[in-house]
Amino acid sequence: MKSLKFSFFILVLFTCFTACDPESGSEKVDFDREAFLINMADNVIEPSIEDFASKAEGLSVATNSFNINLSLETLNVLRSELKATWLSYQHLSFVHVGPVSNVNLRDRVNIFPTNTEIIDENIASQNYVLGAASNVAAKGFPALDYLLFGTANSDEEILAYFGDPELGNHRLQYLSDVVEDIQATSTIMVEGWGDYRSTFIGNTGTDVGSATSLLVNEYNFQFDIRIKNAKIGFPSGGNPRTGGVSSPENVEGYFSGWSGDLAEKAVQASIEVFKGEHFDSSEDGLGLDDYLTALDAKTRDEVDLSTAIINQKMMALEEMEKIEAPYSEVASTEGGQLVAVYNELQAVIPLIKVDMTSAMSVSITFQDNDGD
Amino acid sequence: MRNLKLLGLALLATISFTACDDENPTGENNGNYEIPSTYDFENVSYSGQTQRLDMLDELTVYMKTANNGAVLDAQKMLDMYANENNAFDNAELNSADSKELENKTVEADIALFKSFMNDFAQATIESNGGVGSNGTPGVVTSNDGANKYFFDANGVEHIQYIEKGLMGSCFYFQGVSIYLASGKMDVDNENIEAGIGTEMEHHWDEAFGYLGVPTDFPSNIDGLRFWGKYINGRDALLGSNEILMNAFIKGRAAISNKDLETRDEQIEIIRNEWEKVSAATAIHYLNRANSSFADDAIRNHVLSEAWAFIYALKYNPTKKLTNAEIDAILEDLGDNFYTITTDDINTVKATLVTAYGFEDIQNQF
Repeated sequence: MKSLKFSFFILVLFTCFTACDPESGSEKVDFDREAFLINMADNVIEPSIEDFASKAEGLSVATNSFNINLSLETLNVLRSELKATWLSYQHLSFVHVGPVSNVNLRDRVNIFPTNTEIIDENIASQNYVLGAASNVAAKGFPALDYLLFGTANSDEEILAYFGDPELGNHRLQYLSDVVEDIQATSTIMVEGWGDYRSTFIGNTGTDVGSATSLLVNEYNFQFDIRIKNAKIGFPSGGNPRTGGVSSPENVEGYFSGWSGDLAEKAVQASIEVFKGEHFDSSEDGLGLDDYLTALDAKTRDEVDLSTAIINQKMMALEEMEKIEAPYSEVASTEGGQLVAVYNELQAVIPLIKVDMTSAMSVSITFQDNDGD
Repeated sequence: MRNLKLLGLALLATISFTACDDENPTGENNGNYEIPSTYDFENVSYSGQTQRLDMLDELTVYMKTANNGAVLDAQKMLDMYANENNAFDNAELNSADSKELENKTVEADIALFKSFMNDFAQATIESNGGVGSNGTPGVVTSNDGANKYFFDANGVEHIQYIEKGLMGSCFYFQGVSIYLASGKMDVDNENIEAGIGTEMEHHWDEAFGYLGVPTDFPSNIDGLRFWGKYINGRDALLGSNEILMNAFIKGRAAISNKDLETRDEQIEIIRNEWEKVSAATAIHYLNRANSSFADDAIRNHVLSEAWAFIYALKYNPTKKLTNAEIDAILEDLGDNFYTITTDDINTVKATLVTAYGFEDIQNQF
């Protein structure tokens, strides 16, 4: 009898411990993480890479046409191909895993603000290696933004910039080299995906380095650091780190004025990726939202976490849609509108970076700056 | 016996349920954890903050030699600011390579502080120990002969702009805008590093480190530094000592107990109260400027203090005034403290009093 009592006690204790353990807690949840990873791999990431590659190809073709025939028409085609590729990037940058991470996509093609001084120097010297660290802010989409929109005040003058009898060829060469670098990046990603897919879907845990952990970390990094901070928070002065000082020249797409389109696309993409939406058909596949639902994750106010995340992002989008002018203009005149966007985006952060990661038992492995 | 066993089982079940209940972080468990009476927690470390307070101390000591007519070396101040070239007497600070005041200053202000240092040194060179007056940099003695301050040609005391200015653009900014903001608060709170705590705990401790008070403040008010002195200085009217300390203690306990809602409430309290201290301190100095209006040394000195405490108001994410409004206030304060009028001082004071709701106590600060 005594030993029976004792073993009963142990049993109760054991039950309690198991239930309390966050690691095993998520294991018991009825969610097929492999199926989730397969959906992300085949219906989200791969088609996103393919889309980026095909847009980059279009950009490359348009660059060749522009090279052969400098005209307003070829310039405008080139610009629209640039925009299409840049928009495609906004989706792909959310799934920065495997080959996308290996090529360091974000830093390789979208460091802004671009450094026009370095670009001008590179063009003048004809002596540059685009892969060099010193050139990260002199290439990619922001560099093209400068070359195609910021090198002169009118379309005619921009055509004259590239048609200059002395320097025109150097400028066209730089343009081609930057585009070539983007396209080469896309080719590496396409070629690398096949091998990586099996690694990705086979790594079904939630520990550091697992596919879920990578996805969740990169998703957070892109949303928190590259969208909330870089696209909105720093240029508007909304991020406390700026002390409220705005810096309009730091927006994405400063010269083309595409900042709003690019940022809205990025937030939309964040919703699509969160839902595991099929890239090509918009069919709703197994995504982070389904995982959270399976975990019965709630916000601190006991609201369904998936719903709260999507709703909060929709609110950010609503604020963004109210803004017509390029963000650089808004930041320099009535920054308040952008700060409102920033605040809506900021409200997403505790949901995805604390509540979501805690429900999934995933550790955030990046820091937004140094501490001590 | 049977009943007793059942009771024991029921008790166990309760304990088990309570322990497992982390689906309910809505603040109800606020009563379920202990909130200590002092900042006494496991794994607390903010040595980096203490070192920065030490750095500003040394920089201030050096700058104050100008009050006795010394000519200052701009490079020495810049080196102390950036912690370069073994600028400090305290070798420990020199060897704390990664710690510096400059890289923790609001980025947009770094150039401003450097220009203050350069201008200050230049003014001491021009003056070369001479007496100051409107249009002439130099040392000015108070009417009672007790105090000496070095002012530039416009009556600006750079020491205050730099020392008190960095209290705002570095310590206060880091405390309320960096460590208590999303970048440092939406972080891991699971993995405990020995001596340091979780990332979230650590960041909270770092914010506390910039307050400059002992862990048993306010029952102990020895060794108050920088903000600690001014918090205590306004305590009789604002009661900020307990408000701030309780919020820091409660927030830290809440983090260790995963009660983020309570944490967020404390962040709000800290931001509001700290801001009030800065605004009230500015008003305090404006009052003194009025009461010593005819004393060049005292008036210029306290107006320079006021300038810095107003400037600091920019660096709170939930500030009551916009940066444009704060700049407008500073413009009202003007750029020459020798030629300022009582009306100018009262205009500035009135704006601050209204913004912070200090109507009833405005003349007592």
